[in-house]
Amino acid sequence: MKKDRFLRAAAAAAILVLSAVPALGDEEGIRILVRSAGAVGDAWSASLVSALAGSALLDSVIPCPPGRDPAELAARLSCALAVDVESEAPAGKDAASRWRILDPLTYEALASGTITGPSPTARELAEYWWIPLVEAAEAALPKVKKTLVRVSAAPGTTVTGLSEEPMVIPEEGFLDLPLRVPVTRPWRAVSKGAYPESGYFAALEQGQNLEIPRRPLRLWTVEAGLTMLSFPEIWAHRNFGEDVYFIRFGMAQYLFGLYLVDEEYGEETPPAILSLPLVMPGAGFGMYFLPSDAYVRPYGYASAFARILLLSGAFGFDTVAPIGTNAYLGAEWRAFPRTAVFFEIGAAFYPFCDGFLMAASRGGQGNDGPYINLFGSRWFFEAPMIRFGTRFTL
Amino acid sequence: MNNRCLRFRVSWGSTARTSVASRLGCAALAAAALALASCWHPAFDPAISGSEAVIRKLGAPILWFSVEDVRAEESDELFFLPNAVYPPTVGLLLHFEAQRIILSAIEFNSITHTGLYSSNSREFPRGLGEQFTVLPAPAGGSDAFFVTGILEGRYVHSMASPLDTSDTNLEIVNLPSLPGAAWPPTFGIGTVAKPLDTMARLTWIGYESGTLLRFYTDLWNGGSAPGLGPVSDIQLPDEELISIPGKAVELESGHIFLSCGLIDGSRAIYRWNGSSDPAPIRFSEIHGPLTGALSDSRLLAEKDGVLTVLDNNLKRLFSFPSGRLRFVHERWDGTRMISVFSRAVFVRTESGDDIGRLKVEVYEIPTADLHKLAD
Repeated sequence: MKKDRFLRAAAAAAILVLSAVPALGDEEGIRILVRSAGAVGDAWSASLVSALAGSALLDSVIPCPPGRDPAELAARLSCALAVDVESEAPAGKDAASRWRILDPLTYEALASGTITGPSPTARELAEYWWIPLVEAAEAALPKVKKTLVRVSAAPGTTVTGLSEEPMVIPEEGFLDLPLRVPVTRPWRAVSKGAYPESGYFAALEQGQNLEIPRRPLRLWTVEAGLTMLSFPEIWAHRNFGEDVYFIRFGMAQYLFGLYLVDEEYGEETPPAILSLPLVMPGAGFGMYFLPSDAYVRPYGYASAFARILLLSGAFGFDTVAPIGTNAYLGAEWRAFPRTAVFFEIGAAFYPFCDGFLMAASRGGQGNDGPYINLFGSRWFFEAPMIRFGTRFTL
Repeated sequence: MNNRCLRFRVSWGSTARTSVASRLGCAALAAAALALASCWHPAFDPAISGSEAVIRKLGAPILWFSVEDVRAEESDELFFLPNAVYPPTVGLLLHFEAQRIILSAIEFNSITHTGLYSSNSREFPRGLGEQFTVLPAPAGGSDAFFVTGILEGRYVHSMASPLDTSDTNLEIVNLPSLPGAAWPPTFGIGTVAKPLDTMARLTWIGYESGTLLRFYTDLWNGGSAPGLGPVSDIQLPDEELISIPGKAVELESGHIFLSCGLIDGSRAIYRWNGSSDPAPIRFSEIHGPLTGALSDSRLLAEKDGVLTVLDNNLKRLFSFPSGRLRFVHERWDGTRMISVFSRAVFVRTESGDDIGRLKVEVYEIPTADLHKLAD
């Protein structure tokens, strides 16, 4: 009696612990549902649960409540297997446990058998009696623990998230993937010449198809920017190298801009609209540091530009600084599918210029602001430069 | 002008929720970006780039030097006045501010291309507004004459001598207006070089006394303070319209010009065929106010940094973007008339202070070749 009470308590504790595991977290762990019936004591059920729980291939064991169909309940609970055991231990005769291992989705008996022998002691129940059943369950597990779903995409598409290793869609355009259902998994697909795709695949039944769309890369982008929040400019981008690199060309200008300064006593406040006869066509090269489906996409680029003076009698290259270069680090946030907002910070360097005249050209700009202005006889450097604006993908 | 950036204040609530703090953070970031941008001016000045383009055509300067520890601002209007010899040996720095003219002596070494700035400077009210008249002695001495206001000018005995407060080097030259003259007492004053000579003609038009409008002129070559001798009355039917004095010159051709501001805010140029001409012709300042005249009876007008050379019918002959490059005077080198230009550019080198480096250049070109600057 004392031994029975101990076994019952141990079984109850095991059931509670084992049944709590799925609820606590690992919903995708391999679970097994067990129904233990027959004119035997609770020790038989407890020892069965303990024996199955001891398997390294099973994550949790769920006892089947009385009166419930084990296969049906196993399907509802996303269990990999249902084990149905009927035991008897008649006095004076050998004990017997007839067992079946069922596929919850098909109700098919994957394995069955009978364990017979002299009526086992509690120790024998815990250590030896159920070994054939556990081995059979482990053997049956590969047959049902994963079901097949189909992933369809352009050939060559690399899909991650649905399997341990990235998988590449073959020429057929689809791949059958062993995946236990039901399950929901995030996925991401990358294919050459197309934007990365991503989403969540809710695989509810075997044979479900995940159709991965393919949106070809749009390689041209038009950028409307505002240098130092003052001077509008326009640039075009041509992306290449799988949307990682880009070249840009366009024009900055000082023909129209905002010049907002505080009023100061004794000083004439300059007009808010500043117009200077200089345009700066240029070209540059840059690269993105994250793929285009990143929430915020950082990038960097460097440009070179010409300074064209639009002054009557002096039209042409600005002889003070005929060319300039700049480099920016920026971040791009795609507010809409084909519209992105960007912000950049960088610096400008003017080689082959008259550094002194460039410094003088700043028009009284204070040195006590957060700026660095350095110059030599043939160069001029200024930082920080900031830009922001919008890019429209064509 | 040191720091005219927009200023923003963002208050942070101590009990602000995270979302509020986040919004305030974004607002602070946007305000900081705007404030940062508002401090910024492009590294481009059409007055400098325009002058540089013209300087390439002028060739090498006949004099250039740098001066350290000059007190000024990048936006200030600076003018270097060299004496009328080749190469210049002395000069003055005129520093024009909104309400005053600061006169500073500069010693320079044309071999080492370095200069020394004298903090011993003199200030004068800027009575002629945007216009100013300044002339080194045409004979090539170290003396000079400049007009500080509508009532007087200064004769500088020697541009080489340090300026002091005793006025021993700065002799007051009274303009012809007498006490009680109507306002403005001076309508215009200016100089023009006499062709093939080391002389310059000074011209003054204004009220001598009461409402008696007079025309004065004189030839001056230096050595002593210029004197203006009375010539005649002069007729100007629009005299009551004149409100802002400007430039008055008498050309070798005999034409007299007055460029000035009117009471309605507009500007005009009047031309007399001679001082006895009773009905001067009024022109609009299409190319800007007259800033000078040449010995060959051409006129100089400037607008938005573009210097335009006009004939004596005020017809445009050619233009070039002079910008910071200033026409100083003409000098006779014994064979031809030479036009002299100077450029003074300042760059601040001390953070938070108006101390910096001044670079001065002086260029020359034969007056007959001025049109080449417009090619």
